[in-house]
Amino acid sequence: MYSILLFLHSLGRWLVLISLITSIAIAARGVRKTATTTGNRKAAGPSTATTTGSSPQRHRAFTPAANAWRHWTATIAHLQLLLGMLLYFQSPIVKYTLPNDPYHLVTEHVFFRYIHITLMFVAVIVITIGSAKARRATTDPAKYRIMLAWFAAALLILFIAIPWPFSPLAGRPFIRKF
Amino acid sequence: MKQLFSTRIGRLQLLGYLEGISLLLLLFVAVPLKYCANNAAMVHALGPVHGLLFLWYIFQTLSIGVEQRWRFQKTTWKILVACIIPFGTFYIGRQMRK
Repeated sequence: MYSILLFLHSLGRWLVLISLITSIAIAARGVRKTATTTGNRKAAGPSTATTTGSSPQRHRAFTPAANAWRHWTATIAHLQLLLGMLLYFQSPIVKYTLPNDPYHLVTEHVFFRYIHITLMFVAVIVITIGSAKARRATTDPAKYRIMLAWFAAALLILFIAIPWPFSPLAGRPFIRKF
Repeated sequence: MKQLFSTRIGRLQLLGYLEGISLLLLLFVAVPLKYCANNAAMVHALGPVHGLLFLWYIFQTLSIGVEQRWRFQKTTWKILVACIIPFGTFYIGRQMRK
Protein backbone atom coordinates (compact mmCIF):
# COMPACT_ATOMS: atom_id res chain seq x y z
CA MET A 1 0.00 0.00 0.00
CA TYR A 2 2.72 2.41 1.03
CA SER A 3 4.88 1.73 -2.03
CA ILE A 4 1.87 2.10 -4.33
CA LEU A 5 0.99 5.45 -2.75
CA LEU A 6 4.58 6.57 -3.06
CA PHE A 7 4.65 5.60 -6.74
CA LEU A 8 1.36 7.40 -7.42
CA HIS A 9 2.44 10.50 -5.53
CA SER A 10 5.69 10.59 -7.47
CA LEU A 11 3.87 10.16 -10.77
CA GLY A 12 1.24 12.69 -9.71
CA ARG A 13 3.94 15.33 -9.49
CA TRP A 14 4.35 15.17 -13.27
CA LEU A 15 0.62 15.41 -13.84
CA VAL A 16 0.44 18.46 -11.56
CA LEU A 17 3.41 20.08 -13.29
CA ILE A 18 2.17 19.35 -16.81
CA SER A 19 -1.32 20.66 -16.10
CA LEU A 20 -0.05 23.70 -14.21
CA ILE A 21 2.54 24.67 -16.83
CA THR A 22 0.05 24.17 -19.65
CA SER A 23 -2.48 26.35 -17.84
CA ILE A 24 0.16 29.02 -17.28
CA ALA A 25 1.13 28.91 -20.97
CA ILE A 26 -2.51 29.24 -22.02
CA ALA A 27 -3.01 32.12 -19.59
CA ALA A 28 0.19 33.85 -20.70
CA ARG A 29 -0.87 33.61 -24.33
CA GLY A 30 -4.25 35.09 -23.42
CA VAL A 31 -2.64 37.93 -21.49
CA ARG A 32 -0.09 38.68 -24.19
CA LYS A 33 -2.73 38.74 -26.86
CA THR A 34 -4.77 41.18 -24.80
CA ALA A 35 -1.73 43.37 -24.21
CA THR A 36 -0.61 43.50 -27.84
CA THR A 37 -4.06 44.18 -29.21
CA THR A 38 -4.64 47.06 -26.83
CA GLY A 39 -1.12 48.27 -27.70
CA ASN A 40 -1.96 48.14 -31.41
CA ARG A 41 -5.06 50.10 -30.86
CA LYS A 42 -3.23 52.79 -28.95
CA ALA A 43 -0.40 53.00 -31.46
CA ALA A 44 -2.19 52.79 -34.76
CA GLY A 45 -5.83 53.28 -33.99
CA PRO A 46 -8.56 50.65 -34.39
CA SER A 47 -8.93 51.05 -38.14
CA THR A 48 -5.51 49.61 -38.99
CA ALA A 49 -5.57 46.70 -36.55
CA THR A 50 -7.12 44.36 -39.06
CA THR A 51 -5.21 41.20 -38.20
CA THR A 52 -6.95 40.63 -34.89
CA GLY A 53 -10.45 39.16 -34.74
CA SER A 54 -13.58 41.06 -35.45
CA SER A 55 -14.88 41.22 -31.86
CA PRO A 56 -15.12 44.76 -30.50
CA GLN A 57 -13.04 43.92 -27.39
CA ARG A 58 -10.13 42.55 -29.47
CA HIS A 59 -8.88 40.05 -26.94
CA ARG A 60 -8.48 36.33 -26.86
CA ALA A 61 -11.67 34.70 -25.57
CA PHE A 62 -11.45 32.53 -22.49
CA THR A 63 -12.19 29.30 -24.32
CA PRO A 64 -13.88 26.21 -22.85
CA ALA A 65 -10.53 24.46 -23.28
CA ALA A 66 -8.76 27.07 -21.17
CA ASN A 67 -11.50 26.72 -18.58
CA ALA A 68 -11.09 22.94 -18.58
CA TRP A 69 -7.35 23.27 -18.04
CA ARG A 70 -8.01 25.66 -15.15
CA HIS A 71 -10.47 23.25 -13.58
CA TRP A 72 -8.39 20.11 -14.05
CA THR A 73 -5.22 21.75 -12.80
CA ALA A 74 -6.97 22.47 -9.51
CA THR A 75 -8.53 19.01 -9.35
CA ILE A 76 -5.26 17.19 -10.05
CA ALA A 77 -3.54 19.31 -7.40
CA HIS A 78 -6.26 18.35 -4.92
CA LEU A 79 -5.89 14.66 -5.69
CA GLN A 80 -2.14 14.93 -5.31
CA LEU A 81 -2.69 16.60 -1.94
CA LEU A 82 -4.96 13.77 -0.80
CA LEU A 83 -2.37 11.19 -1.86
CA GLY A 84 0.28 13.17 -0.01
CA MET A 85 -1.77 13.31 3.17
CA LEU A 86 -2.36 9.56 3.07
CA LEU A 87 1.39 9.10 2.71
CA TYR A 88 2.17 11.58 5.45
CA PHE A 89 0.45 9.54 8.12
CA GLN A 90 2.14 6.30 7.07
CA SER A 91 5.61 7.49 6.25
CA PRO A 92 8.41 6.27 8.50
CA ILE A 93 10.48 9.28 7.41
CA VAL A 94 7.84 11.60 8.84
CA LYS A 95 7.56 9.53 12.02
CA TYR A 96 11.16 9.02 13.08
CA THR A 97 14.01 11.50 13.35
CA LEU A 98 17.11 10.90 11.25
CA PRO A 99 20.79 11.62 11.79
CA ASN A 100 22.20 14.69 10.06
CA ASP A 101 22.56 14.50 6.31
CA PRO A 102 25.81 16.11 5.08
CA TYR A 103 24.53 16.40 1.50
CA HIS A 104 21.41 18.44 2.25
CA LEU A 105 20.49 21.55 4.20
CA VAL A 106 18.02 19.65 6.38
CA THR A 107 17.39 16.00 7.16
CA GLU A 108 14.71 14.20 5.17
CA HIS A 109 12.71 13.90 8.35
CA VAL A 110 12.60 17.68 8.78
CA PHE A 111 12.00 18.23 5.06
CA PHE A 112 9.03 15.87 4.73
CA ARG A 113 7.59 16.47 8.16
CA TYR A 114 7.55 20.26 8.00
CA ILE A 115 8.82 21.92 4.82
CA HIS A 116 7.32 19.76 2.09
CA ILE A 117 3.85 19.57 3.64
CA THR A 118 3.65 23.27 4.56
CA LEU A 119 4.81 24.59 1.20
CA MET A 120 2.66 22.14 -0.74
CA PHE A 121 -0.37 22.98 1.34
CA VAL A 122 0.17 26.67 0.62
CA ALA A 123 0.68 25.94 -3.08
CA VAL A 124 -2.57 23.98 -3.33
CA ILE A 125 -4.43 26.76 -1.53
CA VAL A 126 -2.94 29.28 -3.98
CA ILE A 127 -4.07 27.12 -6.91
CA THR A 128 -7.54 26.73 -5.38
CA ILE A 129 -8.02 30.44 -4.80
CA GLY A 130 -6.58 31.35 -8.20
CA SER A 131 -8.85 28.90 -9.93
CA ALA A 132 -11.92 30.14 -8.07
CA LYS A 133 -11.05 33.80 -8.68
CA ALA A 134 -10.56 33.13 -12.38
CA ARG A 135 -13.90 31.37 -12.50
CA ARG A 136 -15.54 34.30 -10.75
CA ALA A 137 -13.98 37.03 -12.92
CA THR A 138 -16.42 38.50 -15.41
CA THR A 139 -14.16 39.49 -18.31
CA ASP A 140 -11.95 37.15 -20.31
CA PRO A 141 -8.71 39.19 -19.96
CA ALA A 142 -9.24 39.27 -16.19
CA LYS A 143 -9.65 35.49 -16.15
CA TYR A 144 -6.36 35.04 -17.99
CA ARG A 145 -4.57 37.56 -15.82
CA ILE A 146 -5.72 36.02 -12.54
CA MET A 147 -4.95 32.50 -13.74
CA LEU A 148 -1.46 33.54 -14.84
CA ALA A 149 -0.59 35.32 -11.59
CA TRP A 150 -1.89 32.76 -9.12
CA PHE A 151 -0.80 29.67 -10.99
CA ALA A 152 2.69 31.09 -11.58
CA ALA A 153 3.01 31.81 -7.84
CA ALA A 154 1.96 28.24 -7.09
CA LEU A 155 4.47 26.88 -9.61
CA LEU A 156 7.26 28.76 -7.89
CA ILE A 157 6.33 27.26 -4.51
CA LEU A 158 5.97 23.79 -6.02
CA PHE A 159 9.36 24.04 -7.64
CA ILE A 160 11.00 24.77 -4.28
CA ALA A 161 9.10 22.09 -2.40
CA ILE A 162 9.43 19.18 -4.82
CA PRO A 163 12.26 16.86 -3.69
CA TRP A 164 14.12 17.02 -7.01
CA PRO A 165 17.28 14.93 -7.33
CA PHE A 166 19.16 18.26 -7.50
CA SER A 167 17.31 19.96 -4.64
CA PRO A 168 19.45 21.22 -1.76
CA LEU A 169 16.66 20.22 0.64
CA ALA A 170 16.05 16.55 -0.12
CA GLY A 171 16.71 14.24 -3.05
CA ARG A 172 14.27 11.85 -4.69
CA PRO A 173 14.42 10.37 -8.19
CA PHE A 174 12.60 11.96 -11.14
CA ILE A 175 10.69 8.76 -11.70
CA ARG A 176 10.05 6.26 -8.97
CA LYS A 177 9.56 2.61 -9.82
CA PHE A 178 7.67 0.11 -7.72
CA MET B 1 -32.79 16.45 -3.09
CA LYS B 2 -31.84 17.04 -6.71
CA GLN B 3 -30.14 20.29 -5.72
CA LEU B 4 -27.59 18.23 -3.80
CA PHE B 5 -26.10 17.13 -7.11
CA SER B 6 -26.90 19.90 -9.54
CA THR B 7 -25.25 22.94 -7.94
CA ARG B 8 -21.80 23.49 -6.47
CA ILE B 9 -23.25 24.56 -3.13
CA GLY B 10 -25.46 21.48 -3.16
CA ARG B 11 -22.46 19.27 -3.73
CA LEU B 12 -20.63 21.02 -0.91
CA GLN B 13 -23.62 20.31 1.31
CA LEU B 14 -23.56 16.65 0.28
CA LEU B 15 -19.84 16.51 0.94
CA GLY B 16 -20.50 18.08 4.34
CA TYR B 17 -23.01 15.32 5.13
CA LEU B 18 -20.51 12.61 4.22
CA GLU B 19 -17.79 14.34 6.23
CA GLY B 20 -20.18 14.73 9.17
CA ILE B 21 -21.19 11.06 9.05
CA SER B 22 -17.56 9.93 8.96
CA LEU B 23 -16.78 12.19 11.93
CA LEU B 24 -19.71 10.81 13.93
CA LEU B 25 -18.78 7.21 13.13
CA LEU B 26 -15.22 7.88 14.12
CA LEU B 27 -16.16 9.68 17.31
CA PHE B 28 -19.01 7.52 18.58
CA VAL B 29 -18.14 4.08 17.19
CA ALA B 30 -14.52 3.74 16.21
CA VAL B 31 -12.84 5.61 19.07
CA PRO B 32 -14.90 3.93 21.84
CA LEU B 33 -14.14 0.58 20.23
CA LYS B 34 -10.45 1.40 20.28
CA TYR B 35 -10.29 2.42 23.92
CA CYS B 36 -12.99 0.27 25.48
CA ALA B 37 -12.66 -2.88 23.43
CA ASN B 38 -9.04 -2.50 22.38
CA ASN B 39 -10.07 -2.90 18.78
CA ALA B 40 -8.39 -0.27 16.62
CA ALA B 41 -9.43 -1.76 13.28
CA MET B 42 -12.26 0.73 12.73
CA VAL B 43 -10.08 3.70 13.56
CA HIS B 44 -7.52 2.51 11.05
CA ALA B 45 -10.21 2.02 8.42
CA LEU B 46 -12.16 5.22 9.02
CA GLY B 47 -9.35 7.59 9.91
CA PRO B 48 -7.99 8.12 6.40
CA VAL B 49 -11.49 8.25 4.91
CA HIS B 50 -12.52 10.98 7.29
CA GLY B 51 -9.22 12.79 6.75
CA LEU B 52 -9.66 12.86 3.00
CA LEU B 53 -13.29 13.97 3.18
CA PHE B 54 -12.27 16.65 5.68
CA LEU B 55 -9.56 18.06 3.41
CA TRP B 56 -11.75 17.88 0.35
CA TYR B 57 -14.48 19.75 2.21
CA ILE B 58 -12.06 22.49 3.28
CA PHE B 59 -10.79 23.04 -0.24
CA GLN B 60 -14.24 23.01 -1.76
CA THR B 61 -15.38 25.55 0.85
CA LEU B 62 -12.45 27.84 0.07
CA SER B 63 -13.01 27.51 -3.64
CA ILE B 64 -16.75 28.13 -3.51
CA GLY B 65 -16.28 30.90 -0.95
CA VAL B 66 -14.00 32.83 -3.29
CA GLU B 67 -16.25 32.19 -6.25
CA GLN B 68 -19.47 33.25 -4.52
CA ARG B 69 -17.80 36.26 -2.92
CA TRP B 70 -18.62 35.09 0.58
CA ARG B 71 -17.04 37.35 3.16
CA PHE B 72 -14.50 35.24 5.07
CA GLN B 73 -15.26 36.93 8.38
CA LYS B 74 -18.98 36.58 7.89
CA THR B 75 -19.55 33.26 6.18
CA THR B 76 -16.59 31.15 5.16
CA TRP B 77 -15.08 30.70 8.62
CA LYS B 78 -18.35 29.37 9.99
CA ILE B 79 -18.50 26.71 7.31
CA LEU B 80 -14.89 25.77 8.00
CA VAL B 81 -15.46 25.57 11.76
CA ALA B 82 -18.62 23.50 11.22
CA CYS B 83 -16.62 20.60 9.87
CA ILE B 84 -14.71 20.05 13.11
CA ILE B 85 -17.85 20.09 15.28
CA PRO B 86 -19.94 16.90 15.43
CA PHE B 87 -23.26 17.48 13.64
CA GLY B 88 -21.90 20.89 12.55
CA THR B 89 -21.96 20.21 8.83
CA PHE B 90 -25.59 19.07 8.99
CA TYR B 91 -26.59 22.38 10.53
CA ILE B 92 -24.45 24.55 8.27
CA GLY B 93 -25.62 22.61 5.20
CA ARG B 94 -29.17 23.77 5.83
CA GLN B 95 -28.00 27.33 6.49
CA MET B 96 -26.01 27.38 3.24
CA ARG B 97 -29.18 26.83 1.24
CA LYS B 98 -30.87 29.83 2.75
